[in-house]
Amino acid sequence: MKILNARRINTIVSMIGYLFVWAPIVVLAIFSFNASAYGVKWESLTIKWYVDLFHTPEIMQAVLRSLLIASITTIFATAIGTLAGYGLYKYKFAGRRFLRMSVLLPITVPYVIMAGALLVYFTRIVHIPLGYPAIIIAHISFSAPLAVFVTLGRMQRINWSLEEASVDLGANTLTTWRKVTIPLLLPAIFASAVLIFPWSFNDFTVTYFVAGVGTTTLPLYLFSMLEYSLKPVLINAISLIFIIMPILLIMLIYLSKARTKHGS
Amino acid sequence: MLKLVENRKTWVFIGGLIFALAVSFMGSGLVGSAQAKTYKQYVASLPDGCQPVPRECFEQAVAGKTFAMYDWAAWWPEELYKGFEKEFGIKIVRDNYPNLDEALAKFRLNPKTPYDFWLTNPKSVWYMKNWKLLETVNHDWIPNVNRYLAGDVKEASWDKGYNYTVLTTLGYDAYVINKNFINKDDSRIPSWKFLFEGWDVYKDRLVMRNEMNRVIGNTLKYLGYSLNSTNPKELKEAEDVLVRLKPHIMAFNSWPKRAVMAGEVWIVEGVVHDYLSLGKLAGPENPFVPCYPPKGCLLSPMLVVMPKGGNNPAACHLFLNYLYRPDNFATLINGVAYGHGHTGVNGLIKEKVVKWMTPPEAGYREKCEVLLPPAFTGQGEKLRAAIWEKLKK
Amino acid sequence: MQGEQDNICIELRNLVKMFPGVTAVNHVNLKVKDREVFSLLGPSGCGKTTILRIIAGLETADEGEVLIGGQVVNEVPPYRRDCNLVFQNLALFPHMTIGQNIAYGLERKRVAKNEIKKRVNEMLEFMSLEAMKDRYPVQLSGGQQQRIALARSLVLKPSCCCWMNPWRHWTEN
Repeated sequence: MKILNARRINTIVSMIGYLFVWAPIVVLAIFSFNASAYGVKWESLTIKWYVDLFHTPEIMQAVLRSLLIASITTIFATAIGTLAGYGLYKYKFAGRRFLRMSVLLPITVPYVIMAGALLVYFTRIVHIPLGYPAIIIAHISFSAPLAVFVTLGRMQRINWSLEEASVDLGANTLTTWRKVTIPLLLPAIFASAVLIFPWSFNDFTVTYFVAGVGTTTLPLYLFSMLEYSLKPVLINAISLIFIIMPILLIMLIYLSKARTKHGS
Repeated sequence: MLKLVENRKTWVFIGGLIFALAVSFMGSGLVGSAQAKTYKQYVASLPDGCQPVPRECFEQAVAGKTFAMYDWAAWWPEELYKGFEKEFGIKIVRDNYPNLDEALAKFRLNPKTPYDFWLTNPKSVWYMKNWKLLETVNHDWIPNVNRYLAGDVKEASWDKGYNYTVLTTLGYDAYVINKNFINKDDSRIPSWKFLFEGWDVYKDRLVMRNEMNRVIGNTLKYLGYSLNSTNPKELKEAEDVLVRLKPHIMAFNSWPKRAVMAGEVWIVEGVVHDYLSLGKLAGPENPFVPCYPPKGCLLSPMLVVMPKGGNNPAACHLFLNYLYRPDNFATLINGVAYGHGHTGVNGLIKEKVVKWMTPPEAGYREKCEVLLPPAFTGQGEKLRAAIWEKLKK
Repeated sequence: MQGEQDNICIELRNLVKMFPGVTAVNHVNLKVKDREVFSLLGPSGCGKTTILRIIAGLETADEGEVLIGGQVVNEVPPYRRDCNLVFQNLALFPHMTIGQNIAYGLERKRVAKNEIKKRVNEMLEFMSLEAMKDRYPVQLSGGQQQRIALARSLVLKPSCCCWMNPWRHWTEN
């Protein structure tokens, strides 16, 4: 009887947790189909906001820009972060601990300061043109540390004699990386990418400062739009699209995983 | 998942997607200028009462190919930008800022920020002028502005000498009531007395702007002082008024769209014009009533300036001259329903909009004031910040 | 003197290996003949594993020489040494099937595909694990895993095979 109660309490607590996480999303989803622009009360079911969205070229362009930036950032930041994490774990050298801690710096520095510093750095010191190059480099610099930490976490659970076995069986270092190390790190690489993509896609502060002419990303556009636009519900519509896409992706992965398991 | 990731096709697909994205951007940079007019055609096509920019300005602007604008997203009607692109074959590259202070910070950190056009406020103009980051306006290149912009807003307090700015819209920062909840025939309406003392009627459903200088400025107006006052005695009086009002303020929010629409807020301090646009969505009858206090209120001009970093200042002149054509300016005002200083659009503005953007009495504009350096620098700022801190506690 | 005439497979000369604070291998000399089963016995931590790792090339000797088939191999990287290890923890690649695990070394040596297939199948048959070819290591018992690890080394036909702690995973079969 006692166990049953404990279990019931557990269920209730986790339900509350889920409610807390999901309620705003559900409300957002419902009201993005409401004919009233302010979602004050329910008027009627409509998809006009979605139609509107696709007829607002400024928003669509901003979405494309954000997707482009986030994709490139994810690829490079994941690669760089994974390599750095591997190096920090495998190679022993003086100051390794300090270096490992200092990787955290770009994440812990307040964004506004990071943004201002990057702008001055790009324009006065290294002369990287503002716009896509600067945004992507800035995003890599603050998202690669995430991959470093995800990788370090995974490295601790990997059996490293696998690399030695590979070398012993005749694979050189590069082949060992390709055939053994990377597959073993794949969960970490995937987790990093999944973290970094939205991190880059969402970023407002850093992007705002290092953006050049013609590189207004979706977050920049939406923040500016809040000031005068009379269609705030467009934000609900676009948010919903970006909530649904990852859910679809997760489902796709889940399905393909289930299929591989079933097949073997 | 492993299979998905190891599969070469997955990567080819992702790579292809990114490549397509990148290519579509490069493609979007090119705009067909086939229909763009030559100078002769442009001059011939102008409506009556409009003047062309000089040939030199036209040619420089067109040769520059792109025109970099920095303004608010989703505010001005899109057809203004599209019309300009189509007429002159110049590609507009538009970026948006979340607010003017952040935009100003960006120019401060990177003086070469290459915008040809920045829509901003007098405070930014003052700082940008001090930092020597503004290009001067060539008045020979904007004949329509010269002809139609009212004299008193040309040579105005925010740009003495009229060297750096061209006015676009004027916002009256007063207050709005919802007539469904408040009797609009109350004798204290539309004076400031109602906002600052009428809580018995509006039952504490008041929202004030979340901007120190604007709130304190309008309080000074209510007391009959200049809203740029730096006199400690006057500011102390304003503080007392605000402290007395504080228990009746629901919230400080500069644009409480949702709460106003929901009827949670009955009276709101802010730019009155924004609520006309909002009221259009409330149903057949607009429930919001603009109140222009007879003592005057805060005036918010939106000014076009040309930052020094811009690459195509000629295009900015061309655009300003285009904007000040009565037909185009009417499009702007009908879209945003803001006040303005254009003298040639009277017949072209929708009646409803006229009712909203025009204060009830002639000469009202002279009683209003713009926020100037005394309010946002030095002693004035310090005194205001102290009041604000007490108010927000 | 008789040993000189036989083919010497592995020879260690004055091998020394030091780790910070410990001398793991102290002037070891030994010779292992072809087809000889040679066992290193001793309490844990006495340096058995280190010796095997040095022979395989995963550790470098501080002093002394390692000879495989009469050649000094101190400078030869592990992936070119004609010697394979069976690891104490077996180190089967978890992301590959049993067949892929056994084929791994052959693929690295660029053996023809048909040949790889043939030799893998022979090896599986020899270990009587044909049915396991498409399974993953986690799906096998400890004893089966050990046989796979052995098969993975033997399929390369190395001149010597070093087996760490061979009884660890031994089961009744």
